[in-house]
Amino acid sequence: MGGKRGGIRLGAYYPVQSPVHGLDPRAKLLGMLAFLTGIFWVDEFWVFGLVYAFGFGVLWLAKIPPTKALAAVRGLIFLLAVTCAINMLVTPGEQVLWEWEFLTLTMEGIERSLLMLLRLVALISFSGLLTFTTTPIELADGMESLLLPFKRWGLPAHEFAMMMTIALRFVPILLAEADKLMKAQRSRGGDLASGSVMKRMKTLVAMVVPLLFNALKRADDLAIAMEARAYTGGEGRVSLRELRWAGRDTLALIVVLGFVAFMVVSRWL
Amino acid sequence: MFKLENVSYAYDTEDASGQGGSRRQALCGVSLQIKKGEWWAILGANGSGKSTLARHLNGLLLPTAGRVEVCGREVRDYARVQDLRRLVGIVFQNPDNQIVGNSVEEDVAFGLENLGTARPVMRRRIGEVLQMVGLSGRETVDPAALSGGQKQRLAIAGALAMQPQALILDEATSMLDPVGQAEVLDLLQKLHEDGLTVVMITHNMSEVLLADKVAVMSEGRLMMTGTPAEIFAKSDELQKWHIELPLITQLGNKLGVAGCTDLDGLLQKLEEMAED
Ligand SMILES: Nc1ncnc2c1ncn2[C@@H]1O[C@H](COP(=O)(O)OP(=O)(O)OP(=O)(O)O)[C@@H](O)[C@H]1O
Ligand SMILES: [Mg+2]
Repeated sequence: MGGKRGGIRLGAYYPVQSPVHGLDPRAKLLGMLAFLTGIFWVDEFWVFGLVYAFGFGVLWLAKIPPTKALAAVRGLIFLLAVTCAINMLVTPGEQVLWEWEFLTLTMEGIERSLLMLLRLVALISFSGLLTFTTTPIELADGMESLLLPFKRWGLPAHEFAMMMTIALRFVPILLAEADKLMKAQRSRGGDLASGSVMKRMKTLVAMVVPLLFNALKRADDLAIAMEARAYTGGEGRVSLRELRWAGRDTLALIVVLGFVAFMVVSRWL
Repeated sequence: MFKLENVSYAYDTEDASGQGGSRRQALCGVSLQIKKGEWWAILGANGSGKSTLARHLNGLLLPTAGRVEVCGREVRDYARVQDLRRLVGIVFQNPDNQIVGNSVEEDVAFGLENLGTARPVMRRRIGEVLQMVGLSGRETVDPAALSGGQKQRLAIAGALAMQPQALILDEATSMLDPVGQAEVLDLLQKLHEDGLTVVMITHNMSEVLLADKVAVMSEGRLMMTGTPAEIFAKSDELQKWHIELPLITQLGNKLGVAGCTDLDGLLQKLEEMAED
């Protein structure tokens, strides 16, 4: 936890200029939703080849190093391997290669689990495309705009976005505060990583209580400050930030949706 | 600008058992008139009701008894609360707890966004007020990266963007270092010269000296009003209300020269006395 003020970055935004970074967040949100759904439909090795080519193509366009996208996979590699192995050994099939008790290794099992692995790795590495290229604020604005039509059914679109904006401002402050409290505790001999359970509990309480108290105080102060600045909710508000849907957004979305359509249809090819 | 008549306010508080019922009287029959363009300081011990008073000046709190007029109109008569809020800006104590935006320009825009201001107007005002508070060129900076004094100037800019008639500062300099305090006070003096009404709640006696008028509060009541010199002459009463005077003033009062606020003034008055 870096205690440096303003030094803590939320989300995975990768700050470069690229055609993908410049797209409207709504286009990216919709495109990503469609693409991830499409990945669930793919069931052939050659189609996965194209999916990866497409995904890495977009990463290249966005000027994001492929290693960055694959970093998330690296963290989950053990989990992925175990899931894959279990899946491989319990899938029944005709071409049995090896058998022991209730475990069977079949050609079908190998094929199934490899497809599953490809699917999971694609989901994990390409979902970063959205957060690498879109700031959290843009995401919040995009979501607010997309969810606005559902407001009449009681979906609090504006409140979600406002919550996100405020969280972005205050989470780093709270993290820095937690960091400070932790150091203060450590200087007093309290440590969350060592000592008896009782002692650790005491340290934890001594940290969490003031943290919670301060957070509530901040929330209270902020609510009054917002009210003092004429905040009354989303009604009649005009945001300084403006989302602009351009021709390139339509084009990008058509390309992605076209590819997703192919991914879905590929099941029957 | 502000006219308070017999204003009382009581907070609803829950007692220890968690059941509501008890009320805490925070203001008792406060009457006060603040004219346009004046600079007021409000003095008082902790819990004397200063913040509660400040929150009556833009309708954040409505009096439980009495009337509050802002710009000649009763606060309850404003059709939209926004119309009242834009007239009177408030800057609070902790800079970190009143900045909403994730960048300087977004924070300045917050009030304007709430008022539904058109984007081109917003852009123009942001430019203007950042110029006024000396933060031009910092539009896209993360507020977390600003110094305390800069943060408070940003908060002032956010209020100024709504083109208020008055600015209330509730201990707005108390968490700043001397440099930050000087930055904020310089800015306030400039704004005051341009005609802004300033109401400053403070524990800092040197800040009180900047004011035209001082109001002293104790236990929810307005005890007295006057110029800083008049107020400072009454050290016995102030002591009773737990307000500590500057050493120079205390010394002057002891020597029989009432209401001196700086060394030069004290020496001059002592010389005059010696001549008589
Ligand atoms: N939200 C609240 N609920 C209940 N009681 C409150 C609330 N806010 C303030 N009070 C009480 O009202 C009284 C006046 O408080 P106020 O905050 O106006 O004092 P103050 O002069 O601003 O003090 P300080 O110098 O500490 O800021 C105090 O006794 C306080 O405990
Ligand atoms: Mg107060």
